[in-house]
Amino acid sequence: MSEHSPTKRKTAIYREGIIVAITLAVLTIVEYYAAITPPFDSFAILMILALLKAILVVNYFMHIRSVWSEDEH
Amino acid sequence: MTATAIEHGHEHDHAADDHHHTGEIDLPTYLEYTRRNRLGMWLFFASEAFLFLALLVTRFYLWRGPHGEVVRPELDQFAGLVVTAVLLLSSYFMNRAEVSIANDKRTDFLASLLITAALGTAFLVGVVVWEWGMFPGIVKGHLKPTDGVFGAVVFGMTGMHALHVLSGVVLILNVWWLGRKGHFSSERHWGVEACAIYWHYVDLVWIFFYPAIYLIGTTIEAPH
Amino acid sequence: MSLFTLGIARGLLGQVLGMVIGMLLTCAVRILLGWEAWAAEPAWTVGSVCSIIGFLLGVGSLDDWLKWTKGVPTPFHHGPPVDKPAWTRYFSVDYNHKVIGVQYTVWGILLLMVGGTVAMIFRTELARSGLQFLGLDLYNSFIGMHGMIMIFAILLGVGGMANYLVPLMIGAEDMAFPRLNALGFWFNVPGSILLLLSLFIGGWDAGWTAYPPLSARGPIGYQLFFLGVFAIGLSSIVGSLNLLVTILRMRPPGMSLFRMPIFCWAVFATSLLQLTATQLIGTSFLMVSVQRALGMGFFDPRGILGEVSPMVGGGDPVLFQHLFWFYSHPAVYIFVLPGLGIVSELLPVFSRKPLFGYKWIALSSMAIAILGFIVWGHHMFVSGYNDILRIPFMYATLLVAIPTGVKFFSWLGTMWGGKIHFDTPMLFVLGAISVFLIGGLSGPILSTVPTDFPLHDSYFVVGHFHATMFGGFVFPFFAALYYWFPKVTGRMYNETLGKIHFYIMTPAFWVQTLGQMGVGVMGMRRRIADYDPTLGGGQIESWHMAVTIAGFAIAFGVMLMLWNFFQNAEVGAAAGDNPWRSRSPEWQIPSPIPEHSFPAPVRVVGEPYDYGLADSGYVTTASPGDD
Repeated sequence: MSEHSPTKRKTAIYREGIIVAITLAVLTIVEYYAAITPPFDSFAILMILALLKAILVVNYFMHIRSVWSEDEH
Repeated sequence: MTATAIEHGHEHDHAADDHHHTGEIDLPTYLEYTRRNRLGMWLFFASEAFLFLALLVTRFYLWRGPHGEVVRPELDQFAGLVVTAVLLLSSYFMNRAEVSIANDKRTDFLASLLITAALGTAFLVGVVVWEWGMFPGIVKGHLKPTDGVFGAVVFGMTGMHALHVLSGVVLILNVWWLGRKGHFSSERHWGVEACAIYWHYVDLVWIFFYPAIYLIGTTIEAPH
Repeated sequence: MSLFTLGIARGLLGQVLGMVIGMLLTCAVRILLGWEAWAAEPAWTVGSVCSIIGFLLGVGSLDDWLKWTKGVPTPFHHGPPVDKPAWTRYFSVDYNHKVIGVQYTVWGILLLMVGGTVAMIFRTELARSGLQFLGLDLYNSFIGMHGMIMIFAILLGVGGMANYLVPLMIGAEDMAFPRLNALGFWFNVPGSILLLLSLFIGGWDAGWTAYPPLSARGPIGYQLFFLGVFAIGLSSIVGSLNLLVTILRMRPPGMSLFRMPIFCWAVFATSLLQLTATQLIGTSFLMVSVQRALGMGFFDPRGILGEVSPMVGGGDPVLFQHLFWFYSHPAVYIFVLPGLGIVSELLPVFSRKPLFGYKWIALSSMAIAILGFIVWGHHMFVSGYNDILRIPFMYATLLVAIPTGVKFFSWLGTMWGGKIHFDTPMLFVLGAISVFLIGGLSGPILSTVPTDFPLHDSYFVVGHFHATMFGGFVFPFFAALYYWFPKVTGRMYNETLGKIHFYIMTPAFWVQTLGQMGVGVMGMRRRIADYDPTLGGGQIESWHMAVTIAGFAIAFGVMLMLWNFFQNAEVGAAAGDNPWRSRSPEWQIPSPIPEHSFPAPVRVVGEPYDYGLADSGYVTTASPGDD
C-alpha cells in the first residue's frame, strides 16, 4: 500500500468495509431463500453459508491477522 | 489511557514508573501492550466460543422430531431477518468507527459509534419486544420460556446473546463518551479496537445462531 | 489501624451488603409484578449474584477498571502499601504476582483443610456399618461438599503455583495483566464463601456432579453452589488467559518455547484446557439453574411419556452429562498436569542430571490436553447413551496412557544413574510417582467398557480418583511447597519434620487408596452412607476402618507440614539464594525475592536442564555490556 497516497488508502479501507457489508447482506438473503427452497435447506448448506459470513467478519472486520503480525497496530 | 476489559501490564523498566504518574507511556511500550491485549482479547473470544458452541450443541441435541430429524419451532421469520439485518448494519458502522479513528476523523468516528449503539439497541428491542413478546400489549410472542425444549433453547440462546449485545452497547457508549472527551488518537486507540472486535464477535455469534434458530430443520407447529 | 483497611474485611462487608441488596431487589420486583414478596429461591439466587459483585467492589479489585470507564489514569503502585503495615498487602488487592501467588496458595490450603475436615467427618461415619451420627441428607451434602471444596482447593493450588512461578521462570517482571490477575484471585473468595454458605440453607444432596433431575429438584443450596462454581470458573478463565499471554508474549530473548522450564509447558497445556473447557461446566450449571428458576426445561423430559412434542417437554438429562463431563474430564488434567510438571521440574535438580527427553515431556503435556477433549464419554458408559459411542470413547481414553507413559519413562530416565539427593521435596516427588502409578494403572480397568460395568459407581472409582489426585496434585504440590518455601520466605523449613511428614503420609495414602479400591471390589457403592457388613466375607468393616485410620494419618501429616512452615517462616535458618543448586531463573536472585524480581532483563544463554555439565548456564541477568 506504500505507493498509494494516504487519501487513496483511506478511501480503499472505507470501500473495503462497504464491500464486506454488502457481501454479508447478500449472503444473508441467499441463506434465507435457501432455507425456504427445499433442496437447499440442508444443515450443511446453511452452515457453509454461515461459515463464509464468519470468515468475512473474522478476516476483514476483526483483523485476526493482527494477532500474529508484528508490524500492524 | 484506554478503557477496556483488558488492561496494561506494568513495564520492565522501573524508571517508566514516573511516566505512569502522568498517565503516558512511550509508543513502543504502548504497542507492545496492545499486542498483549489483543492476544488476550482473542483468547477470551476462544473461551466464549465454547459457551456458544455448547448452546448450539444443545439446540441440535434437543430439537429432534419423533424420527430423529432436525426440527425447529415456528417463529416470526420477518422478525428474525430484520434483527439480523440490523446487527449486520451495526457491524458495518462499528468498522467505520474504527477506520475513522485510525485516520483521525473524529466526527465520523463519534457519529459511527452512536449509530452502532443505536442499531444495537434496536436489535435488543427487536428481540425482547418482538421475538420474546415481553410486552404482550405491543407484540404477542410465539413462545414462552416454559414451552418445552423449544422455549428453553430459544430463550437460552437469544438470552445469552442478548446479554452480550447489551454489554457491547454499554461498552460502545463508554467508548463514545471517552472519545468525546478526546481520549483516543490515530496511534493509540486500543480501547476502540477492543470494543470494535468485541462487537464484531457478538455479530459473529449471531451469524451462527440465526440459521440455527430460524432456518435449519423443519417446523413443528405449536399445538393450540 | 481499623479493620476495614484490610481489603478482605471490606470485601466481606460488601458481600453481606450485596446479598441484602439483592434480596431486597428481588422482593421489590416481585411486589411490582403483584406476586408474593418473599420467595426463598429467587431471593437467595439474586442475592448471591449481587454478593459476588459486592465483594469485588468492597475489596477494591474493580477500582481501576471503574476509573478507566471514566478515563482517569491509574498509575501503577509497586511495593507494599505506603500508609499501612507491609503484611496488609496479603489481605488486600495487590497486583504483584508474587503476592497473588501466595494469596492463591494460602487460600487453597485453607480450603484443603476445610475439605479434609469434611472428609474426616464422613470417613468416621463409614468406619462402622450402620448410621452413627450423620443423617442421610447431611452425609450426601458432605460428600458433595468434600468433592467441590477439594476441586476449588486444587484449582487455587494450581493457580498459586502458576502465578508465582511462571513469570519468575520465564524471567518476566510480572504477569501480562496484573489487574486481571488480582481479579482472578478475588473471585475465589466470594465463590468459596457461597459454596460453604449453601450448606446452611439446605445443602445440595446429589453430589458434586449435580446431575439433573435430582439437582433440578434439590434444595436451594444448589443455586448457591452453581454461583460459587461460576465465580471459581471465571477465576480459572481469566487466570489461564493471563498465563497464556504471559507465556506467549513475555519470554526473554533466547527463550524459545522449547527452552522454557518444563513447568511452563505444563501450565501452558493446563491453561488451554482451563480457558476453553471451563465454559462448559458453567453452561451446564446455568441451564440447571434457569430450569429451576424460570422453568426452562433443558433437562426435563416430560412429554416423552405423553405426546411427543418439543413444545411441552423433550428435555434430556443425558445432555447435561455430556456438557458437564466435557469440562469435568479435562478438569482432572487441569489438576494433574501442573503437578506432573512439578515432578519433571524437580527431578533433574535432585538427580543432578539433564531432564530425559525434554521435548517429549513438553509434547506429552500437550497431547494429554488435546486427548482430554475427546474422552469425556467414558464417564457415561452406563448412562444409556448410544451404545456405539462407547467404543471410540474407550479407545480414546486408553490412548491417554501413552503420553502419560512417556512422562513415566522420562522420569525414570532422568533418575537413572543420577546422584540422587533425598531431600523432602525429592521424597514427595518420588511419592507422587508411586501414587500416580497406582492411579494410572487402575485407569485402564475403568476405561475398558466390560470391566467398567461392574466397577462403575463403586468405591474402586473413588480409590482410582484419589490416587490420580494425590499423585498428580497433592504430592507434587507438597513437593513444590517444600521446594519453593525457602525462595518465598528466605528461611529453611525443618528437614526432619518434613521427612516425618513424608514417611507418615505416603504409606497411609497407599493404604487409603488400595483400601478404597478393595472395598469397591467387595461391592461398596460410592456416595452411600451405610453398607452391608457382610460384604467381602464380613471383612469390609475392617477395610473401612483401615481407610479411615489412614485418612486421619494423612491429615496428621498435613498438619505437621503446616506447623513446620508456620514455625519456620520467620525464624528458620537462613536458606541462602539457591539451596538446591537449581539452574532456573528464580533461584539466581535473592530470597525472599525483592519487589522487582530481576535487577536487569534476563537473557537465555543455554539449555534449562544441563545439570552436571561443567561451565554451562541457563540464564544471565547481566546486561551484554558487562561480559
